[in-house]
Amino acid sequence: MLHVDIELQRGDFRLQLAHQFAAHKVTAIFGPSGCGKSTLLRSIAGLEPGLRGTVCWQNNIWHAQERIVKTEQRGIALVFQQPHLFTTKTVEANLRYGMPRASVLKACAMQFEDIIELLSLQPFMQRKPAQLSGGQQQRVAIARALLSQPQLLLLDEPMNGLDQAAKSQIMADLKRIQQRFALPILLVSHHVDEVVQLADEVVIMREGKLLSTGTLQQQVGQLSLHDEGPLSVLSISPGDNNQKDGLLAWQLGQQTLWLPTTGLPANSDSKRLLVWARDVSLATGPLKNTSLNNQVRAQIVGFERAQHDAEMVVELAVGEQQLRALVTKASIERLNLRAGYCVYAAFKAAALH
Amino acid sequence: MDSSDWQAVTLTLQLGGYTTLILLVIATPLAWWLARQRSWLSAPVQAIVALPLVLPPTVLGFYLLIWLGPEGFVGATLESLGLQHLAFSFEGILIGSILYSLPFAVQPLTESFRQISQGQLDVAATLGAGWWRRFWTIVVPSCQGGFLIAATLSFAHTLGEFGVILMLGGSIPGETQVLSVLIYDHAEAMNYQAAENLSLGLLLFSFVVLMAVYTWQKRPTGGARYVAR
Repeated sequence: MLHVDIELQRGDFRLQLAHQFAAHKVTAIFGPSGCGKSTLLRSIAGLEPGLRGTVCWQNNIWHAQERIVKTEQRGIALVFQQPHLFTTKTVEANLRYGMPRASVLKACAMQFEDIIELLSLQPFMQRKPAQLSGGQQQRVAIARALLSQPQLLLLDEPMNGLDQAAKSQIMADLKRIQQRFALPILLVSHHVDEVVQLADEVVIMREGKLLSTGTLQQQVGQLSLHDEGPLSVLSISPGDNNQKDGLLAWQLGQQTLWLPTTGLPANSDSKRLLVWARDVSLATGPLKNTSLNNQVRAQIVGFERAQHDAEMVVELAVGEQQLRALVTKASIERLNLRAGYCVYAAFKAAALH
Repeated sequence: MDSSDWQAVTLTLQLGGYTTLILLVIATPLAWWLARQRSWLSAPVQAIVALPLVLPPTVLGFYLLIWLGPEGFVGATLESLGLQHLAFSFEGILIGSILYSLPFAVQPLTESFRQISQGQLDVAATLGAGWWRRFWTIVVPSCQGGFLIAATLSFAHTLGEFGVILMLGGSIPGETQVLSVLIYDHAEAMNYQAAENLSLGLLLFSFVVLMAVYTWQKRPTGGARYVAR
């Protein structure tokens, strides 16, 4: 468990934050550029001189007035926005740089061959960093961090500058690694999809301060404030393995959803379904003639202002879960939507994680 | 070439070798500090380091002769401790050479330390590398070129040193009579043949050393291109 209560002044920017980060989970640190996310990670890593306050990891004091543990003795790894590979060394030498001695490594969680295979680095081992693409370099940086057997992994927008394919690949790998080794991760990001895919907990920052914090489900409303408008995250569990026309059945409470099978691990547990509010439409009765596959019964809980004056965000309850729909005020009038009414919500899922 | 010529050659190489080794040890931390720290002290320190570039060597030699001699504060202190003062001794001209060649070691190193990626150093720290390991595994390989240039220039510049040694060391065979001083002595004694032999040797040797460095620099991995600019 990581406890942070720190203060740092840099010119006219001030970082001031106190938080206890959950153990064995992924905490996403989310916020606009320049809000101090990276500085927070660097402070935890011990890379910011002039830091005041305390940083405690489990029962060890890493930073306090009378005692500062050096970065190299904290047992962390930090993956930066840039890969920062050691340019004079081969990929293999980069990977081995932080690895424990062979005798110690035997007892460690993350073995050399496993990580190489997981991140598909075998073909590049003898190359120099300059001969790799940006995505390959970032994969090497992540593998190098993991192989140092960190007890805490800090990721500072590690997917920056990667194309979508490389990004999904790395995010899936990170999720798998995290689950397998119960590795605590702090992930700095300003992309909602990264947060939704990886995070268990979310810390929202604004101008050097903590704005709010909670589980991913609790913080979905806050995530909406930054990126591509409001969204919902639904927890779904596998149905009775019914496949039909390339679609797989999932349970959302009592109701069934049909989602494309492609790319899903077969024995999946509960999943997170990311749905943008703009992709949800409402109807007062079940829709028959629609191309949208998924329709659920939902109850209107309330209304919120949207960014555009002509629109409203409709808050819906689907069983225990919350779904948001972005609807024009005109439609709300026309359909006579009121809190407490039952409607049918049809939507297109943006991503399943 | 007679035996006194060979003695001068050996002495010159010794002086150059020791000067270079000691300079690398002194100049590395100094250059690191100049390259990486912003302090109001940087400008005065840089100015002091660069002084030998502009001062006549006789000025430097004169002050050293005063300070290291029996009446100077360094020489007098040594004598009060039962040791020898340093004027007209090998140790004396070694100190003179180190000061005289200091900018030639500090400046290329400072320049090459400025190019080091702080990101790589930070990553190395998060991977568990302490200060010493970061220095040997990141700084030294990235700054090979800078170290080579610093060493070569210090060595070559010491071979070419004349004024400081003449002021501070005189011309004592086997102690302070280096090649440049011996050539001067030969010429003054109208022994032109001997002077020419040594001069030509020094000319060729210096040319070969510098050429080797610039050839190495041209290699794609040679680095340190800033010196050629």
